[in-house]
Amino acid sequence: MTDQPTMLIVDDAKLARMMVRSFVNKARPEFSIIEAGDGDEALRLLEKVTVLEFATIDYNMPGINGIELAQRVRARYPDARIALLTANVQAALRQRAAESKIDFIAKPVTEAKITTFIRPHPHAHPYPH
Amino acid sequence: MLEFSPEVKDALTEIFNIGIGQAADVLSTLVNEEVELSVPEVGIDRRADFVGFARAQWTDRASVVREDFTGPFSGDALLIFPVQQSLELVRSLLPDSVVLETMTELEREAMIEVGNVVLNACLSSIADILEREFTNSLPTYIESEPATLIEQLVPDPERYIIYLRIEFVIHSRNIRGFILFVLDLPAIDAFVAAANQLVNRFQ
Repeated sequence: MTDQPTMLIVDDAKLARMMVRSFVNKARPEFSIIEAGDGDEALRLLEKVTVLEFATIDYNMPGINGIELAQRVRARYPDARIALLTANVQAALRQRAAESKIDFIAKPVTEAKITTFIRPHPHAHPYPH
Repeated sequence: MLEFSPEVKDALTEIFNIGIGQAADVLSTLVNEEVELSVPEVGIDRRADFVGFARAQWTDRASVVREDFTGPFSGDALLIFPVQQSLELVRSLLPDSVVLETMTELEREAMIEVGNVVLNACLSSIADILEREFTNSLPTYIESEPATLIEQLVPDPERYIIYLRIEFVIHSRNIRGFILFVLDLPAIDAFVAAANQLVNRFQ
């Protein structure tokens, strides 16, 4: 594809994808954004992507869940920064995300949460609580 | 026949989903276990048709905690469990509870409290995302067939209601419940308008 940094947004809710995209466009207009409505579509679209920088992935989706998808994305792009972006804010799920070294962002999507997640400091704390 | 456009349906589902996520978190803290959630379902239906669906879906009597809410739109929020499962849920929360066949006053109060916390978490987060405020009534406890209850809440069978329905499962206790929001037509218009405003901010 191109040399542009690429970000993946996976959510079965178009509204959530639109919100993330709008905040990313504002903070990092240089990003190329790929949107998918479920895990299968995301994996298909990623076949053309060699370098992935960021991904936000919903948890409760038709097909494979967000943790499974994140693990598969992680296997293919070990350096990508991946966050589970979900309304399912239970401690058990946060724990599973942490075990897979996936950041956790609680919905609702806000500008502060997204801009903090995609800021160019790979080792900084991932997002505000 | 009324129907939502795909965009409106998507927005309503997502708003509801966020509310349910908060509610499940509260419930999970109460029962100290993960609560599994289904993908939420949003639809619009004639009251008569929805009651037919509800009758097929829920054949047992149910323990229902109901709160009605008013604000930019008004309606009823219902937390529904089959009676036996609500007893199981409540017993798991009460210290040293003995095995009982029926709901005692204490169990009834505990169930109301669970419903209150869960439904409030849901309503509050919907209010926050829409940047509006709702006022809700005190919760009431009803034992009824859900279809009969919906008939009582919306007596006119020709009126339309919006339903927002999600199933949650607490595996170790084999508890399966539903959250249902019932809104009538003016409330549906107001909810759709609020959702559209939110969508338009990001287009």
